[in-house]
Amino acid sequence: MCAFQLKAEKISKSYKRGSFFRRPSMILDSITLGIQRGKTSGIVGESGAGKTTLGRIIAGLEKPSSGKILFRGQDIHRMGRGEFSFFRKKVQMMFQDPEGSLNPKKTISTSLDEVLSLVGLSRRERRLKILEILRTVGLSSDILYRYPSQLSGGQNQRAVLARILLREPEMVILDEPTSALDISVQAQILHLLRHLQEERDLGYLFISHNQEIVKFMCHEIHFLRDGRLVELSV
Amino acid sequence: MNPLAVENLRVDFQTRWGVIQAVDSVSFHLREGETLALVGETGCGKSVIAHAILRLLPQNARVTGQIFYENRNLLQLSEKELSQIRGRKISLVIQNPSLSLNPVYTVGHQLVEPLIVHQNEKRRQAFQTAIQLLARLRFREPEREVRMYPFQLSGGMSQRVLIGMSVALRPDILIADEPTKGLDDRLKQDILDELMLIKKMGNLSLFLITHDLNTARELSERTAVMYAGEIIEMGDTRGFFETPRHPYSKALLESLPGRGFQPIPGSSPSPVDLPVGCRFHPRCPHRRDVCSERKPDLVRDKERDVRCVLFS
Amino acid sequence: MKQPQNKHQSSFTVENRNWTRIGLILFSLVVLTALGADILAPHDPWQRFEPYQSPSRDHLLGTNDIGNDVFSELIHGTRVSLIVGFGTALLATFLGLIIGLVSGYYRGIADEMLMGLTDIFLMVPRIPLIIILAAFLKPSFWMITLALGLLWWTSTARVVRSKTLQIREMSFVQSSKGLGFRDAHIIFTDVLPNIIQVVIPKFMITVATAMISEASLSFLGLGDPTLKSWGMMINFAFVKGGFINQMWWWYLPPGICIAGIVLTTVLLGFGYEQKEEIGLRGI
Repeated sequence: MCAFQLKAEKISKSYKRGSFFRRPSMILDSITLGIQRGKTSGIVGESGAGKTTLGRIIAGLEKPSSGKILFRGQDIHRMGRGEFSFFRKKVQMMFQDPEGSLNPKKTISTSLDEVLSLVGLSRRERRLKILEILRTVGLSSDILYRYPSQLSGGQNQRAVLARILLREPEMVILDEPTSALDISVQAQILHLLRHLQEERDLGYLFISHNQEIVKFMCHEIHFLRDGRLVELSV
Repeated sequence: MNPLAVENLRVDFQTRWGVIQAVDSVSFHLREGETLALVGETGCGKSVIAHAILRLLPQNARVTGQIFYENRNLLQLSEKELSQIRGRKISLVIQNPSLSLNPVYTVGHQLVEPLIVHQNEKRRQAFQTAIQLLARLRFREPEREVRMYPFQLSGGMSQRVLIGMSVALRPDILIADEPTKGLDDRLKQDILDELMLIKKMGNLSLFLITHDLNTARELSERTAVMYAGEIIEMGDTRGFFETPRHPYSKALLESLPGRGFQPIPGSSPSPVDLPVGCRFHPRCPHRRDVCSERKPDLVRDKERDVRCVLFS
Repeated sequence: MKQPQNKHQSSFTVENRNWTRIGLILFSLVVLTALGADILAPHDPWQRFEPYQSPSRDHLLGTNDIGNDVFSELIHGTRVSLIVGFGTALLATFLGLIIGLVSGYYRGIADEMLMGLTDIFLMVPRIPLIIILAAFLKPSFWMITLALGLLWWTSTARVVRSKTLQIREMSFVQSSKGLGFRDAHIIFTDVLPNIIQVVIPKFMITVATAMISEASLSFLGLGDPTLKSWGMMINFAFVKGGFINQMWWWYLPPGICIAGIVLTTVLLGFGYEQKEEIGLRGI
């Protein structure tokens, strides 16, 4: 049995740039990597190297130009509706900007509650689950009726994490989750992520340009340069 | 005579929810040719200080204290007198370079603008000055690049153009507000090299505001740390990074990935709800009873100012 | 020692007046007048008295050429302006929203086709079309409202599409997609609330423009003769010699009213923008 529950096979992505006669530029070139539960794979590279695009493709938010994404052995772009829904539930993505990740016009309570409405739970059950998840991520319940603009960067990222965890995922793609945060808050969030990984056996794909953080978080590190994965260090 | 001396600066904001105290009795000075780094996390008030110096705060700000430049209190000058100083004598570089350059004018046009307006240079001559400036800023093809539009430049290049614009008039003091925020490591290094180059170019005093401790360490001779609107430690950079004294300073350094990556428990206090006594005491591992009663003063001991009962 | 931050600043600036409040007060007056027209007007505007009277105590603005009390006509005219104005704007904005949202969110073929449609509608000259329609159909204010509404959604559609394109790239929309929400849910709860702030000012401008268009069309004689509208009043004033005979009470009051109601609408829009700006500025 394959150890990688989520696998990218020969993923390439190119964009048509500029005028009609220009050749398309290749952002990603035949990338293959795998993520397993309980472990963190890291991707390091410079800004604009295509790390975010790769993350989005693996999360199923964007289609590759060629190659496959396999979840539990199945090609996600050939899945039926129900199976793809299940994939969506199990593989989540977390983005870099804390305030952009939450709808500025929705209170935290609404943002969390609507996730639970995808499952069939009673009002009371939803309320209990929300309070529980807030405790897990270290937020007090008085932030529930605030808007993202009224919370700090760290609090926003925790709220985003809460939203993701409510879906009970197995894998999370983390795209520079702490780059926009203060230093001490960064440490808090990353420790929280590690703790959650142990507690829930989560598999992480950690994308960053900061080598020190990546060394702290990851079990194996891939380097992305010119669209290709160059090294692998453990 | 210090080029810049800030004394008892206090900034409050009047909002519909009440008065918010952003900066409380901050005093420091900037020596000639030196770089002072002001370090702190989001919301500690460091950006407010930068804007207060050049009187760029919004309408609802109430400023008290004194800011002395060339023997004059900046807070008492008229708008007209201030406009002579802004950009020319004291210049500001802000974060987010891509938003600060006008997309419809070429880089050259924007560089020569301050030269023409402030120094009455003729356009052709100003253009030459601009090209020279770009060359000094290590742009590889200044004659070509001076005619480019901002969208043709990378983020790092834009930031360097901005820095170029702010020193075009050879100011005495440059205030850099988070110049490396959001940039990746290589760009950060570029900007740092840029700033170091600028420092050497003209005996400039640099007031560097950042939350990035590594940037502060590389560029500055003296470092000050702010927490919740106050300066809690200030001293020479090397000594500070080797032996930080204030518990917050120590905790901050220890939260860096290279130094232990220990998170500081809790979070910074909101400006509307500041703790009584020492503002850091709720999160401090060394707190004592007196910390929640009395706010410690900034006390000097061997060239280091510390605001903590442990050092007074 | 307190130092004033800005010494040379006047307190009477555009920003300082509370336009929202002023706009709302004026607008409420207008709506109340329209609703209570029957009560407020001293006479039935269709009732005939002695024609060509100058302003007097009984007829505050005199009577027109067939004996209707001008002042009562004026008060009833509020209704027409409001209905045409808001009716048109509602139709146009609704269409523009739907088209813009679908276009911007789904992109691809739907976008190309809808934008092609928008281009076609933009090519149609509006006023000439209405003149032609008026020539063939019975001119009624419902027709005007419908015609204007069906033509004016284009600019709203463009603006909505543009903002939708921007919002859909934001992390919270991507997050919602990732969490597995249906498209309809994302469009209505994530995208829509964030584009409303550009739609509302456009809505207000459409109201104002529709009111002026209705007045212009009525003035040209293409309006609904069975209703009392300000444009029609000016039309009759012109045709029946009111201008030449300098009977200002025929044409000046409706003209001022048209300008006034447009100004009120614009103030409302302005007040809304001002509030939004304050909300955005924050600290």
